[in-house]
Amino acid sequence: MNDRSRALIAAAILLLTATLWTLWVSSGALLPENVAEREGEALLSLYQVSSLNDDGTVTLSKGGRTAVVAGMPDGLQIGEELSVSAVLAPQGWSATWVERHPLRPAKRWLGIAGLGISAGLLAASVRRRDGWVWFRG
Amino acid sequence: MAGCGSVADLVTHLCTALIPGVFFAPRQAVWLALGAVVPDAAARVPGLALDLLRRVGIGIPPGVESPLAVFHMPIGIVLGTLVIAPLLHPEQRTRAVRWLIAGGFLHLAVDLLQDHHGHGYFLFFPLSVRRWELGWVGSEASTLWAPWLVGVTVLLWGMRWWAHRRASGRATSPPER
Repeated sequence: MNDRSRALIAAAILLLTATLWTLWVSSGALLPENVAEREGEALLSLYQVSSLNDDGTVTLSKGGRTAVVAGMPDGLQIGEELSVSAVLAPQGWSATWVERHPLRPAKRWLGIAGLGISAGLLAASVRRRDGWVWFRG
Repeated sequence: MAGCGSVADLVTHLCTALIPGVFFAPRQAVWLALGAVVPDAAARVPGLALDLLRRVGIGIPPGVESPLAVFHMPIGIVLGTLVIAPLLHPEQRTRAVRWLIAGGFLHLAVDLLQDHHGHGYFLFFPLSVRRWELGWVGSEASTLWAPWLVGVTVLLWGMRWWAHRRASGRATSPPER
């Protein structure tokens, strides 16, 4: 089997795996509401504070999803990132513990810097040779 | 996302590939380093970009980026590298593929050290949906050691560059009379 056929088979399996993953995720298995129903408690991991409501609850959001949580600590800032373990009561989410992530912005900037350095490394080390990608040693 | 969406930063991932690379495989270090960046670059960065667009009010449905999560799993690292393999020069292909995959696995190993309160990484998907993590360091710990890692990386590669330059200078200088 040559490299091209191997790549085509790899691409087909990769596509199948990505489809299986998407099907599994879209079944709601990872949704906090379903996790809470299954396990009694769910982790709202790395959600961002999007609003502090008048009734004392806090609206958190992540990737287009929102959760309104009661029992949150004082002093939260809009835009802050949190991980919240919460139980789902009939009136909504209630926090059991909260972990604040004050270093997330620094981590994000390090991520952006790393991406820039990687792009530079790629540009400096790659060139075309005989129609293929060639890395300088 | 693979895991809880929390990963060590890319500067840390680059350094954790480049530091052993300078000792054990300086000529292959670029593949190891790029391999160590790809899982986040392919699986995480598009999601962050879409999140930014959502924050400015563009109505992108949740979960659109979901299929990319496979690139942060062992199966996606191996298969993704095999897919791009035919683009690489035949002389380097086998070595490059091996080192790129090694970089990807090094990335996972570094991420696994972190604690996400049990929301670890799907290492054996599609065979298992169990999440794995070691939980030895906090999820933001890398921001504290990244500046030190950068310093050590620059120092080691600078020393190698200087030694290499000195050696090649000796080799090309005319013999003394």
